[in-house]
Amino acid sequence: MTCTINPDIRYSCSADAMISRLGDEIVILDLKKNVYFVLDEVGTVVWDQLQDGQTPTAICTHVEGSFSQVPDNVSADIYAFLSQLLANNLIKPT
Amino acid sequence: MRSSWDYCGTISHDQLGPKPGWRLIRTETGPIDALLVESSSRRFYVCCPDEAPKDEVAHYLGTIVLPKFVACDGNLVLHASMVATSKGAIGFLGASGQGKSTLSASLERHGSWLVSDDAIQVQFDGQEWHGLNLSTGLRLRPDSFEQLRTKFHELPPSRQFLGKHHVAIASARESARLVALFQLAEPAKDISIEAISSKDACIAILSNSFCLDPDDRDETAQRFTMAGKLAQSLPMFDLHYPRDFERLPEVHDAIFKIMGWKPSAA
Repeated sequence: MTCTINPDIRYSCSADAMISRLGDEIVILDLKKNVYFVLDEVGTVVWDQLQDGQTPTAICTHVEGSFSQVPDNVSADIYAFLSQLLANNLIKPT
Repeated sequence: MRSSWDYCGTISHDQLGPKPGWRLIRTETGPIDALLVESSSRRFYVCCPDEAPKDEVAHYLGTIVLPKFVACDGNLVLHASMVATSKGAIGFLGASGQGKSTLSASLERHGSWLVSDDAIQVQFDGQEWHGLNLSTGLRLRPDSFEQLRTKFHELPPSRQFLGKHHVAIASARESARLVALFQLAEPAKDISIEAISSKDACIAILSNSFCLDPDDRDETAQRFTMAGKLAQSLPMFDLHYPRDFERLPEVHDAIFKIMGWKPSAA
């Protein structure tokens, strides 16, 4: 299932998502489904940006400026990732 | 006993209907069909066939149900065995049948002290992690029992239970300082040990932990928090080895080597 991400609105952590920060990475527990999600380093940056109240557009700009080697399609990857988070009810529009 | 729950007796299948405040937990193995639990007052009923042997029911409650009750009390309880050495204790995580008990019994035979066979309650005292015994004995598969039987004597039920022999632990300790965890991987031809990342350790800990009710959000959240903390604090390794009794001393050596311990540390 895919969900459409609005580039200009903010998303926040769902009440069903609980996180554990392990070094540079994050494990998210979906309390509703009792399923775990593991974020890599880039996913963790995206997650932190979401929690800081940044829009998807701003998050893409931030990621492009934060990593030395960024693939050309990083924005598409970020939107796909956000869509997954939304589809799994780990984030919600605010 | 680190969990105080009141056993209210047996209950028939006819009485298993919805009861406000009570949760029905069905069991998949063993002599018990279901538990009816009331968490807030810590009470439970057991639903089992009339012909279920009482010693098997008691053993099942002590070995399979007790760790879940302890976990329900907000504790992290690992499906793991644990042995203590002079340098600290190590835990072995793994699904049933992966060799936790055999490896622990083998280490015990070579000078370590067995702390727990199948379930350890993990606690943090502000500085160090400790593993507490939640087992009533050691449960060995028939082949391991044959190899190690001169060392142990059997406990009730004296017949095999869930395909294993139940034996006493002569040198068991109640608790020990936990310094590392090893996840028993699928059998391999060669012995190898690999460190795993904190996130993988967290998932492994969660996958190998007891819970009474997976749908209980509070219990799940507490377990998750403690698993993350434990994964960040202790080294954890994947342990690959052949399930061959003759090669267990080599496995001991590999474990001690990765821990930076001399064999005399046992």
